[in-house]
Amino acid sequence: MTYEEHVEATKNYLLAEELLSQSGMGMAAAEVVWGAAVQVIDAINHRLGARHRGNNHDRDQIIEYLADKYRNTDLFAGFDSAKTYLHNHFYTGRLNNAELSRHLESGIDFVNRMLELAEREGSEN
Amino acid sequence: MSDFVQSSQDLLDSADRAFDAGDVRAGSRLMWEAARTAIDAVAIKHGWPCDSLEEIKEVIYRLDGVDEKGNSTGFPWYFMHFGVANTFREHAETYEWEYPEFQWGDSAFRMGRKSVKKFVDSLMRYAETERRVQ
Repeated sequence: MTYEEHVEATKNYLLAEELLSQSGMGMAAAEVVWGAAVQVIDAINHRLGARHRGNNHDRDQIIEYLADKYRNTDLFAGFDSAKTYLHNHFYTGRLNNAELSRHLESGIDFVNRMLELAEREGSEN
Repeated sequence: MSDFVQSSQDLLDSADRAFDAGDVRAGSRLMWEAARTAIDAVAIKHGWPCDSLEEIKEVIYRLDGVDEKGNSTGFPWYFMHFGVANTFREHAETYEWEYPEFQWGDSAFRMGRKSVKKFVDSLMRYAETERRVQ
């Protein structure tokens, strides 16, 4: 996939999250936010010269690179929200409604911050 | 309050030493305990119950501005970073991972430590000043 395709997929997943949440399908909404997170990280990987292969370990390293570069500890917390809680919820249903709504909020915030960084990384390269 | 600040800092320092020595489980337990101590400091100062995991989450909700009806007035910053601290707890307590993809690697541990340190620092400032510094 190209950078543009990853960004488009990211935005489509965010739109899907709205529809799924409105329909009360929280478990699916959680998983598409994780999908959006994966897509936007892979988009940034293109901006960084596609140095990584696109597995979970490599995605961790991209987040660490960005968190250090922009001195932003919140990036990892948002990423952990998307992965450890939202993605996990799809398998286990571990979150109650209050937890789910807050992790959705922090996961979506993470994706939107990453979309901004994708633009910024593109303008630097 | 200074006792809580010192205890949290001591626990963070101990966690650093455990991670440096390669003991991820002990380091994770100490990161969780540092966060737990900082949450206790805020809860005790306000007279909020904070014994169980559910009561701890209620403290976090209050810090994020969630009212009695569960309505939120702000971004769940404390909840988000509490999630990282809670993930350390899971790494301290989990011996067999049903889904190994959720087990942190080296990068995640490094970033998680920074997240919890920021979380603890913010909680201690809140306990002392009642101002949210994030």
